[in-house]
Amino acid sequence: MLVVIFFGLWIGGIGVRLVYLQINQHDALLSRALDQRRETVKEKQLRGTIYDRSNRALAMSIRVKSLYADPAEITDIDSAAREIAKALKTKPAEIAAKLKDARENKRRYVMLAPKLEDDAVQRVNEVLESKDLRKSDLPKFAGLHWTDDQKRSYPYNTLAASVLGFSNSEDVGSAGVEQSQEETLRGAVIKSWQDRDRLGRVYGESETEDREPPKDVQLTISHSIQYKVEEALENGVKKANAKSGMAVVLDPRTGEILAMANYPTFDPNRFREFTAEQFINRSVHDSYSPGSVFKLVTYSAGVNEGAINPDGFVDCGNGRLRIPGREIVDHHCTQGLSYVDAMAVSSNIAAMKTATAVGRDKFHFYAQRFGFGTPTGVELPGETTGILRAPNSWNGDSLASLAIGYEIGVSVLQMATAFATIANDGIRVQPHIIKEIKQADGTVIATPEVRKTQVVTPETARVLKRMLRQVVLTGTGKRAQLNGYTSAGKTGTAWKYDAKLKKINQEKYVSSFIGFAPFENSGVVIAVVLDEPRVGARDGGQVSAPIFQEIAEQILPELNVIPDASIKPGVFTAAEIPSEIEPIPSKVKPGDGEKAAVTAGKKDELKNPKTAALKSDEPKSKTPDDKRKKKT
Amino acid sequence: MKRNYQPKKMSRDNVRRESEPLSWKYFLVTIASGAVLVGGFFVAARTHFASINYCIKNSELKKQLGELEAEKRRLILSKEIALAPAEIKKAARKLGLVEISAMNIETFGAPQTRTDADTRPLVIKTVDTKPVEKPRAVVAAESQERKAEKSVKQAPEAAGSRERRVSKTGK
Repeated sequence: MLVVIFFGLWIGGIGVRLVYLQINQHDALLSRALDQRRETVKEKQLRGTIYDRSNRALAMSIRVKSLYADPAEITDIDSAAREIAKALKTKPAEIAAKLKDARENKRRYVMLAPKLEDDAVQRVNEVLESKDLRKSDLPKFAGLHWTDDQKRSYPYNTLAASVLGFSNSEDVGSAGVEQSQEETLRGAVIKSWQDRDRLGRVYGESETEDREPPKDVQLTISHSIQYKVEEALENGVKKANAKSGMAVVLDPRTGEILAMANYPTFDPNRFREFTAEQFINRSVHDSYSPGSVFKLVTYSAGVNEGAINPDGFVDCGNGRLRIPGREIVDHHCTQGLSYVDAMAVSSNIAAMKTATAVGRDKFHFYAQRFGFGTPTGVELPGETTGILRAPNSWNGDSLASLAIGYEIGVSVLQMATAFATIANDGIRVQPHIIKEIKQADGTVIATPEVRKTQVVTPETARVLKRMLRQVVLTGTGKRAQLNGYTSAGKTGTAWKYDAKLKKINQEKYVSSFIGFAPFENSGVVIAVVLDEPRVGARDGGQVSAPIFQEIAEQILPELNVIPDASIKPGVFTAAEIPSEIEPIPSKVKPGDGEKAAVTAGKKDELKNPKTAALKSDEPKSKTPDDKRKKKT
Repeated sequence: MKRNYQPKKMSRDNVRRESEPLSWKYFLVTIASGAVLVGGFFVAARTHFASINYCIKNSELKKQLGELEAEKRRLILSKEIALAPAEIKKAARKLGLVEISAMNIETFGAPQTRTDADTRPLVIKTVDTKPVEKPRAVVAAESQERKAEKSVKQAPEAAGSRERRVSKTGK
């Protein structure tokens, strides 16, 4: 009987204890058990890849490891520092100082070598192997541990650097597409838990958050075209000893940007070695006075409004035109000139008369329709709106200035889009640089919505194309003639506004050529702008048109554009090409126009101090030819 | 009035419960049940440890997969670096290749608007010509003529060389 009672009490006691542990102490014991075996892991997914239009990786992330030290686990810091320094090929004193400082401040995480690639990790593991040490993870060295990390790589180095931008050491996009598409490219942080046994082996794991697959971005850029454009631009800038250069290649039918180059540029793999100034994508960020290339808008407005008869003649008088505040002298147009020839030789008086015939409000309307004064909407950060003032703030001579591309600020992309509009039968297609956003498995998630606007009629566009063709055949753009292809375009040479002098600088130009090829069914629009060419002839037809020629001749065969001409371009001397630079007006009065231009420059300077140097002013210029003429 | 009828007291020793002997079937069932229970415990334990083992292997495979993915990305990156246009250009130049551009292409398209620049004619090879075969007699005569010319030329040369040799030995 006693035995039964004893066993009964014993079992009862156990039962009570079990109930107490299972019910009353449940949460505390569970958390204790989890603490012993479970580990929470935060894993950052790899940043998305940026591809070009042919699926070549322009920017991609790879897994790397970072070496860190826990000073609390290191007994002899000095001897450890010597061995670590030997493995990492650094100075032992620096490492010792870091470790000692961390120990004093009770920090248990000291970064020793961030983002080492696989071969470097293996080498460090081999050098730092302590055979007697019992340690579950590598390296077998007391107090040292690896942590998973990722590294952004740009395999083509400087190629399309200003378009791609870069992501900083925290893997945050800091310029270009990396910045504008940060939300898409950023790798999500995934929390997960792992159950480990006493040997440290993982026997159970699960994610606490849904793993969203990383997204990749495919650009419209072609790496091959981009390379050719960059190379031609670099050669051109060096040859002209220019301060900088910009080039944009557009498909006028789709609005896709095939290449966008800036020189000088930078290497995103070594972004720390460059200044912030060099990261700027000047093709979309900077605005400048376009000069004569803007006559495209002037004549488009004139033809579309019926203000001028494109087959008719413009009466230039004796080559002088009085506008409020000053007198314009035009040596190209001393009597009568057809509008086609006026465009070819870049006559200022003809353009001004056309603008006057169009009228202020209509001219402003067309400038807006072509996309000036508003950002193009391209998926790149820091795009400029440019400067297009409302007609009610114009001065007496503003319309005349605008007609020849002054008192206005444009970006290279805006200007290229305007030419693309004409090349595409008057339909303006919004330029874009992102082709699609897709998942790692290739599933397309999003494609850009492209806006199309009919700016001028197809008939007007055809007339304008004919005028631009003449520029290349007989006018200022002869050097843009192509071997095997027809081409059309317009040169531009604008004086720059000097922020230091607070007036135009007669020594500084922005020289440009924007054109398209082939003449019919244009495959590409190419814009080339050189800032401050300083050697030899400096107008757009002399320095920018040859770059256009080099780019077009290289990329058109690659785009499988069928040659449409057997023209072999001749070698032209400077004397054979009509000079575009306008002569100095006979009587310059400090009128309202100058003030307005200066104000425009200041406004932009306030908005964007970095680009203020690109502003130009009134159309007054002096060429060696003009000097000779004056002397004679 | 009720009368109590008390049963006669009976000695306990005389009372015997009939005890049925335990059937061997019960033993077998109990033993079998016990065996099943114990076996079940073993199977459960075995399954549990096997599952843990599989989990460990699974996690190791996952890790390997991750490492292979990382390696694949590294290889893709290396491939992209090797295929960079600048690298290809360097390699091509080493091999003596020339870049293709419109300048290297002879075009046969119909000429558009002709300009001053257009005046230079293109050199276009239109016909692949072969020289007409000469009659054998003519060929033989020509070869004889050539032989005769050669012998005439060689005679003074041979004389000259002899003279030079003589002058050298004379020294």
